[in-house]
Amino acid sequence: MLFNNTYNNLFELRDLFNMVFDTSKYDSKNYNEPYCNIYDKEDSILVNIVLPGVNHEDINVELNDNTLTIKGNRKQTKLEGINYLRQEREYNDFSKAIQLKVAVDHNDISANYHDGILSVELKKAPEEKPKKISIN
Amino acid sequence: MNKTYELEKFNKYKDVDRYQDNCFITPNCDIYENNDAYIIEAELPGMNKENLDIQIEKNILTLFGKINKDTSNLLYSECGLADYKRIFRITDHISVNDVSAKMENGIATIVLPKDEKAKPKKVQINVN
Repeated sequence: MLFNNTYNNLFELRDLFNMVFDTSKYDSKNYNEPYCNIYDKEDSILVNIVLPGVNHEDINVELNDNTLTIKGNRKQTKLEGINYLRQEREYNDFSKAIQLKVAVDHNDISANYHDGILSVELKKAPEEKPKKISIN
Repeated sequence: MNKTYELEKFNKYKDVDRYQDNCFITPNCDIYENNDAYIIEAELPGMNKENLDIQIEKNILTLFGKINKDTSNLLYSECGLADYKRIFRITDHISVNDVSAKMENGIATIVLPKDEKAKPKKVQINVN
C-alpha cells in the first residue's frame, strides 16, 4: 500500500535497507505476509488481518502456545476470453505468525471474515484482566 | 517465512504520518477487458458498499472509499488507517449510463461496458 505523502520516499528507502539486511523475508518461496492491526480491548485482543478477496474456506487459523498463525491461499478465478491491461493484485500463498505477549483463553476464540478483513478475537485469560480493587 | 512478531506499543507520534487526514491509500487494482466491457477490480479491505463512492466525470473515474478510522485501543499497526482514493483516466468509448459496480469480500468490481465503437467487429471476407 502506498501513502501519498512526503514520507513515501523514506519508506521506500527503509524497505530497500530491509531488503539488504533481512533477506529471510524475501526468500524464494514467495510467501506473502498480510498486514495486520492489533487492538487491545479490556477483556480481549482483536487481531484484524487484511485479506481482500479470499474465500473464507481457504483461510486456516491456528493458535499454538501463544502464537497465532494464519495461513491460506489466494486463488485467482480463471476467466476466459479476457485480456489483462493491468495486474497489481497478488495471488499466492500467504502466511502470518503473531506472537502474543498476553495469556489468552484457548477455548474462547472467534474468527470472522467480513469485507475482506479477518477478525480474530482472543479472550484474555482471567489473570490478565484488570482487577478492580475496592477501597474501604 | 514464519516470522514471529513481537508486539510493540503503538507510537502515536512515530506513526502519525499514517493518520493524517490528507493521506490516502491507493488500492491495488486489476484491470482487464473482454469483448463487451472493461472491468476494474480494486482491493478495498474493510470497506462496505455504503461508504464507497464511484464517480465518472467526462473521462475521469474517481474511486473514493471512507473507512472507520478508530484508533482507540490500537496496540500495533502495520497498515495505516486512511481513506481509499484512486483516479483512472478512461476511454471515451464506454456507455456511461450502463456502468455497474459491486462489492464482495473487500473487492470492488466496476464494469464499464464498451459502446459500439469499441467492440471488436468481425469482418467477413468473401473469397472469390
